[in-house]
Amino acid sequence: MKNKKAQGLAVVVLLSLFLFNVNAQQKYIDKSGEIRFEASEKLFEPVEATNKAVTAVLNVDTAEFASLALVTGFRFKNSLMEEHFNENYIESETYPKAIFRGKLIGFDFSNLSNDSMEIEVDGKLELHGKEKQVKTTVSLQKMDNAIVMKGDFKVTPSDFDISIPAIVKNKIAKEVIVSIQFKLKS
Amino acid sequence: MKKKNLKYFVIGAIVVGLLTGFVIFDKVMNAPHRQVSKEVTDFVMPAEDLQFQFANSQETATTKYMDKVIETYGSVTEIGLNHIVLEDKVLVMFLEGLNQEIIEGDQLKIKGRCVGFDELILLVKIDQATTIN
Repeated sequence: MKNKKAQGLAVVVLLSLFLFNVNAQQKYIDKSGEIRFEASEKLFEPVEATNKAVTAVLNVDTAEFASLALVTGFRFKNSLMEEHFNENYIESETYPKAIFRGKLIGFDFSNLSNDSMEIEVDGKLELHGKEKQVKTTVSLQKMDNAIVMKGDFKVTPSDFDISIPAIVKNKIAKEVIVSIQFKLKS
Repeated sequence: MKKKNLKYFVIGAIVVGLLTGFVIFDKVMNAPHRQVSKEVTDFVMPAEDLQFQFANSQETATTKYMDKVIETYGSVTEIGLNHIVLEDKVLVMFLEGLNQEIIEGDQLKIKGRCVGFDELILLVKIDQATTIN
C-alpha cells in the first residue's frame, strides 16, 4: 500500500517536472516597445504618431510572435489630429486594440548574434474590427541579454475599413508606413 | 465723403473679421495637448482593484475607464527605462521620464490617463503619468 502511494507520488513528481519543462518555454517580452506610423503627404502637415507602450512577446522555442498596441496610446504632435484619429478613424472606444499574431519564419534562437540578421514575419494584424495578413521582413539582433527587433511595413486605411473623408483625402497618404522597434527581454 | 467713410468701415470690418477667423482657426487647429496632471481625477483606487476590474470584465472596464484620469497606487514591482509596474498589475508610462528616484518595493501613487488593458501581459496601461508622492 505504502509502496503504491510512493509510486503515485513519483508519477506526480515526474509529471509535474515534465509539465514544468513544457511550461519553461522561453518568452522574450517588451512591455514598452515603440510603434510609429506615418501617412504624410508632401506640402501638408505631417500625419504621424508614436505609441511607446506597445507590448511584444516572442516565444523563442516556437518562433511565435505577438504584439499588442492600445490605439488610444498613439500620440500625435497635433492634438486635434489625435482627437480625429481616435474618434473618427480608428474609433478607439469601439476598437481599443491593434493586435498582431504571427510567426518568424525559420527563426532559430541559436543563430542570433550581435550582428543584425533579417528574418521574415508572417501573421495577421487585427485592427478596427478587421483582420489583414501582413508579411514583412524585420531585423533581429542580440544586444546584451535582449533581442532587438526592428522593421516596417505598409498598410492602407481601406485594408481595415477606415474611410477617409474627401475633404482631407489629399492630406493623408494612401499608404501608411508602420515602423516597429522592440527590445525583448527574457 | 460719406461714401468714402463707408468704404473704410467695410474694409476695416473685413480685416477684423479675417483676423478673428484666423485666430479661432489657429486656436482650434493648434490646440495644446490635454494636461492630465492638471485635470480633475475621475477615479482613485489601488492598482490591484483596477486590474481586477479589467481582468474580470474587459469590456465594462474599458468603457468605464478608458481615456479617464486615474489615481492609483501600490508597490513598485518593476522599473523600466520610461515605465514602472505597480503590484505586477498596472504599467505606468511617464510623460517626461521619472522625476524622482524610485527603487523596487517603494510605495508609489501616480496620476495618469488609462489607455486600456493589455491582454498579452494582463496589465492595465496608464500613460501621461506623474507621481503624486
